Amino acid sequence: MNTTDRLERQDTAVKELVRRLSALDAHASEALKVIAFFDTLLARGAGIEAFVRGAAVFAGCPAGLVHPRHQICIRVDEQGRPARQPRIAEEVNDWPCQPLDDESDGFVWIERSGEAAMHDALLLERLAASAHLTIERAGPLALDDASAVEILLAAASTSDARRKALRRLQLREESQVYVMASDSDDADALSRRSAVVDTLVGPVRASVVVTGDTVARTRWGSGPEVMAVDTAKSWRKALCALRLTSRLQPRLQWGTVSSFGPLVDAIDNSDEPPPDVLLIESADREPWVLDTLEAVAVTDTHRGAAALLGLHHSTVQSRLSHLEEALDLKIDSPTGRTRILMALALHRAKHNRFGVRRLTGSHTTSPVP
Amino acid sequence: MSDIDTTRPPGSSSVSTRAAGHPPVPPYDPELEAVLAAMHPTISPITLADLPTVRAEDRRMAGEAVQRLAQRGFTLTEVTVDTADGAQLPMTLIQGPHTTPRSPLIYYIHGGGMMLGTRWSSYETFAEWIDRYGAVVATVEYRLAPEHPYPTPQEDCYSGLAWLREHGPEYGLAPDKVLVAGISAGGGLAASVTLMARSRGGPSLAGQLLLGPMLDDRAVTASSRQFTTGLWNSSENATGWRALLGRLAAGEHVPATAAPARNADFTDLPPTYIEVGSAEVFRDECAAYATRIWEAGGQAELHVWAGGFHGFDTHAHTSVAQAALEARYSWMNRTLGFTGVHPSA
Repeated sequence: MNTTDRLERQDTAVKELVRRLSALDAHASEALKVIAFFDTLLARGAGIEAFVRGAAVFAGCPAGLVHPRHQICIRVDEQGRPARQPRIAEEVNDWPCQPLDDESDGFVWIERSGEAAMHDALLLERLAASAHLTIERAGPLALDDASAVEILLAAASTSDARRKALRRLQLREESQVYVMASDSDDADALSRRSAVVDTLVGPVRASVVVTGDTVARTRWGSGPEVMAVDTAKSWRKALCALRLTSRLQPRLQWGTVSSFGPLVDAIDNSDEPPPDVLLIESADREPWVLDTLEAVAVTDTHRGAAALLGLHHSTVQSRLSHLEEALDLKIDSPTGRTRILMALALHRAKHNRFGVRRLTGSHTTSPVP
Repeated sequence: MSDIDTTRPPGSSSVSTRAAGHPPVPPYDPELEAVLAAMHPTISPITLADLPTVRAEDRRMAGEAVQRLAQRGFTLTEVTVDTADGAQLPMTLIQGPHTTPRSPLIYYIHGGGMMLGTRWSSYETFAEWIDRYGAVVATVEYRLAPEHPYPTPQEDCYSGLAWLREHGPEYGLAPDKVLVAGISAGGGLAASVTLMARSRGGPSLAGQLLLGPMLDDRAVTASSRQFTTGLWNSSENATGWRALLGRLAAGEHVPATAAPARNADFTDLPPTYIEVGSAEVFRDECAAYATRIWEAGGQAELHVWAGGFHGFDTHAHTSVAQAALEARYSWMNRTLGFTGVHPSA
């Protein structure tokens, strides 16, 4: 067989394969097209608008992306031409949309009215994922320090984004750091690498501190030392420690409260607090109750507790009698102390709020929201 | 994806134009590359053996095109062009609801590598001219190679233009300023018709609009050898020229009316628009053609779009295609003497 014949035969075989592939299940092949399309744009580092255009053309209807943090607002019509933002109308709520997985308020949508088309969900998923990666990679706006800290704190950030944030913050990946969580009401940041983050318990300031740097602060929770790329891990624990702080113990390192971590998670995920926590809530009728319980639980003697509270020991004695009667619990015993310590900690994790000038265990009587 | 025209004859599923042992090539525009990635695989490279299959698809698409044009409210008038060798060619005059006595007349020549296509191929392109400029478009069914080699396709196309001058007034057309337009092989034929009109004392032309035109059979430029895979690659280009010219192809005796790049005299040509992608076989012959016109004191406008493959402008959602269309309409505005506006705008 000469070369030409061989080539022609191969050619025929390839064409046959191509015909068979075209005849593949149309649904699967359409899905593959969508995936290949977005993968190629990503691989080529296309701009953010190209992804939105592609989604609109695939869907046959307008598509859009908003990302408040980066002030991105893109909408294109079904032919891929830039278009104005839609009027606020009822149907906006019916359009299929998907949030970006970057802990921002960003989301993408396609303006499908009526019945969804087969690949709408796939399109949205690809568009959202591509937009997330492209925004992090391209960074249409230069990162400021706070955005860089947010990227380090977010567990969902990609490693590309983390590296970029570390450069911005002049940290090496292997720099030893820990996160300090403090109340966002406090005016000064604990370090220049700091951002205020919305959390379950209100806005909290997270500060990335390089090990060895000294930090003075009235109230904080600090996370464990980690490599700078793993800042997000330290942040979660710093926040947990902050939530366990009180007026009497305003500074807590994760290492001293780590046993409470799983319990705090459990409290967050449950509508029903443990009975001991409810007991504390029921006793918390006077401004001195929580402080007194804590002082007794963390000291060996009534005199020690009194010194901590700045009171005469007979006052502590009488308050304690009152509380033991109200709670029907022998507090002044090893078992009682342990139960009260645990219950107080979980009570604080549940009720401490930040960014609103309100601490449990402080001398205030306003109700916990 | 609705606007991916997978029936366009030069087709390929190949994403990259790079291959071992071949010269480096400009990368595709990212959006265009993504379009290729999402395309159905099509037959590539096209060979003479594929012609029956592709032509059958062309005929099916032609029926669809006629339907679509009628749905858009256009009026289609069928006429017959008699050729010197006794053939009768179908030609269609298409006009929209906005035609006036001052409407421009555009003579459209379809593409398909000299071997493929019908007068309806890429009808979306000329339908836009009807909407935008109230133009009357004449599109001719020239005979195709290899069954009808040079000079038949070229003479057929010239016969269509001559018909417009002779019979146009019977249809209310004023054929004194025809804009000749063509895509791909049709662009090459439009350039040939323009040269023929000049040498034969044919109608004076408003301009020639050459979109990715096929001008040079010699395969001597860098771009003609740079793209060995992909849409309308060098092997398909060679197939097309061989179909048209037979043994003459790339030899010494190919006349300028067959391959306009062979032309020596570039004086007295009408205003010329040339659009091409940087990632296609025709890039360098297009640049050279514009340069020759400038050297001869003529008016030419050349746009080489970065990362465009052959026919990239049909993927109208991409940023680069939108830019190409804007530039094209700008030239048409200046050449036709008024700003065309799409009725929906």
